[in-house]
Amino acid sequence: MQKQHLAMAEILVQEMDELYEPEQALAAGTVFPALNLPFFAITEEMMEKAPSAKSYQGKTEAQQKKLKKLTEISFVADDLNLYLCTHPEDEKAFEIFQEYAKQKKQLLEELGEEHFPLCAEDAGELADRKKAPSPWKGADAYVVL
Amino acid sequence: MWCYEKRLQFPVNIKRTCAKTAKLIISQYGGPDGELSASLRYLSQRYTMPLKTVGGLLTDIGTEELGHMEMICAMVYQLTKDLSVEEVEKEGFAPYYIDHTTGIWPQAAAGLPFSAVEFQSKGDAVTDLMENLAAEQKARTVYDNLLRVIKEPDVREPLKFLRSREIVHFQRFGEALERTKEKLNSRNFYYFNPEFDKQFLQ
Repeated sequence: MQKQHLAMAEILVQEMDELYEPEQALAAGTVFPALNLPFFAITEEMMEKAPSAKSYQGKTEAQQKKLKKLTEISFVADDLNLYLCTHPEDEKAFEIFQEYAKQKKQLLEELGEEHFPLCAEDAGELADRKKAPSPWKGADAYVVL
Repeated sequence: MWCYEKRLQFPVNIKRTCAKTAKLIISQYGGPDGELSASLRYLSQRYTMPLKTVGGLLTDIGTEELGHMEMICAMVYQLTKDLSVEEVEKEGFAPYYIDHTTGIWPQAAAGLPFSAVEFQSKGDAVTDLMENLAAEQKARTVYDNLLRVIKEPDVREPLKFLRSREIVHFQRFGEALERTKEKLNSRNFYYFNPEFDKQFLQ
């Protein structure tokens, strides 16, 4: 029980509970169900349904699916990373984070080898550098040489 | 040191041009409670935080906000990229267009250009964390306002995501405040500023 004081704000420190699966985490905007506090103007369906592969960039469906997976896995790692900043002793959370971080690294490598590198150092050859579309251009962006 | 991954944190895929919507969304780029403001606020405050973990949190959230800024700019870009001159005039986009064409420039919906006066880095750990708690709520309110008036599903999707992040960030800053209290005088949190009066730190 946190001690309470006058003239000072207090926020309850979160205790990690169940986590969403990556796809639902991205849809809800958090991996923690307890922090999913939606607005009335958003439908429940919107909070549960993640963007389909078609929303992602890529010339082929395989590319789009891989980027979708990378986005969802990375997001869980990001949200867990913030949790770990304020819960530096939570071993269990760290283990889960490491799992997701490992998957993310794997997916980044696969994406780089099979389709297009997302980071400069993942380019296998000079031509790879112009393969990835500009991320702000939407799903039907294509490479302009 | 910052690295860049050539992807958005959440996909932005807006198929229909709409300058009217772009004029509103741009507030979350250059507005007082927008993502750029948030990012600079947190990235400025982190240097003098007494707790390393809080400096770490400010770095990580500040970095995430840059990714959100990127999403907002992607939205404005996609909403205005195929604008015709007729649409510019009809949708009230002319004042912005005159100075920026369909380029992306940080200003608020009402036209106020982005400015450092819209955020604080006060150099007091408690004050700065309170500033951040308020900032996340203000951002959430802007997203609430946008979600009430914008009907297009392609636009609502990323907005819904960004709103959720504000609530999570609020929770983290609250937890950072709880951690910071441990370094203060527990009978009187205001006895000293841990960033300046270091002689009192435990």
